[in-house]
Amino acid sequence: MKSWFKFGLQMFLGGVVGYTFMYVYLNNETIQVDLTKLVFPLTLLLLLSLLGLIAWGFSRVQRIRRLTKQPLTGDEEDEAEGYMYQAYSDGSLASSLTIILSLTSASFILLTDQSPSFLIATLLSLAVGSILTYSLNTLLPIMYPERSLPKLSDPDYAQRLLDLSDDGEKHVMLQGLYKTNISTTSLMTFAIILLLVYSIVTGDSQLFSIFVVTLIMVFTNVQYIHIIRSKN
Amino acid sequence: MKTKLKELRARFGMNQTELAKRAHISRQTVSLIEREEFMPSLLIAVKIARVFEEPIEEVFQFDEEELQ
Repeated sequence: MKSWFKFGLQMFLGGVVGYTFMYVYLNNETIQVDLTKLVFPLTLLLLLSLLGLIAWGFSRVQRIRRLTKQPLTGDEEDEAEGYMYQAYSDGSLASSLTIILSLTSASFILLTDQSPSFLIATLLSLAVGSILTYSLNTLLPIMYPERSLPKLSDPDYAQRLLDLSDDGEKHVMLQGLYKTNISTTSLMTFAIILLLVYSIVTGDSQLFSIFVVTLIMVFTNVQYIHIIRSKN
Repeated sequence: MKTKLKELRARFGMNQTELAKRAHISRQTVSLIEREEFMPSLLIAVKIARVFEEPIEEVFQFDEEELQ
């Protein structure tokens, strides 16, 4: 059922993009897209999303702190460990999204000439997002006191954390990364097509963005092949 | 691959967290092995078998078909 839905969605999106492209090409005209009316509501939506993400992220940090303080045994301890793992994953997602959305909001606010107070709010959320990331990292030794985790000041922190992971954890990461890699490649390809169609439809060239997306795709593909090729 | 991990844990009165600590692996790995979603490496299999003082083939069992 899931694969049918995915197939249907791909067909639908392909149809929409194809139809729009052909319509504009055959009629040889450009469509005026007026985004100015959407600027203020979009800014508010972005700022509210950031606020929600920050609240969600810190609620996960609090949940982990509460769980680590509970003296549990038996199946309850296993259950609490599972909840902690999920809360940590949610917190990581919240912090990553906060940083990404903050950067997007800052760019949006700067490019649409909006009130500096919005920009300050966005920069604040960027700082809070970084604090959230830091808080999550400081929780790791509390969650797993028996593991000799690297210090946060370690310049090779991410690599050392990966090295410390056991095979089961790496298996989970591989599954996640493999699926993410496939969807990233498809989405990037779709982004290039979308940017091309947008450029033609509006007459507003997105060539620079197409080059940037292409460069990222080339870099990630070359990096992946370079890593696996050397392990023969 | 089948595993007697859950059964052995119950016999030794050990939860997943405790087994993970004793075997120096993560609880997530113990959970994955028990749910038969992950086949452990030889090193992890030895670490787990040692905790229960059992030979590896007592803890992890393969069907004949898998070994063909």
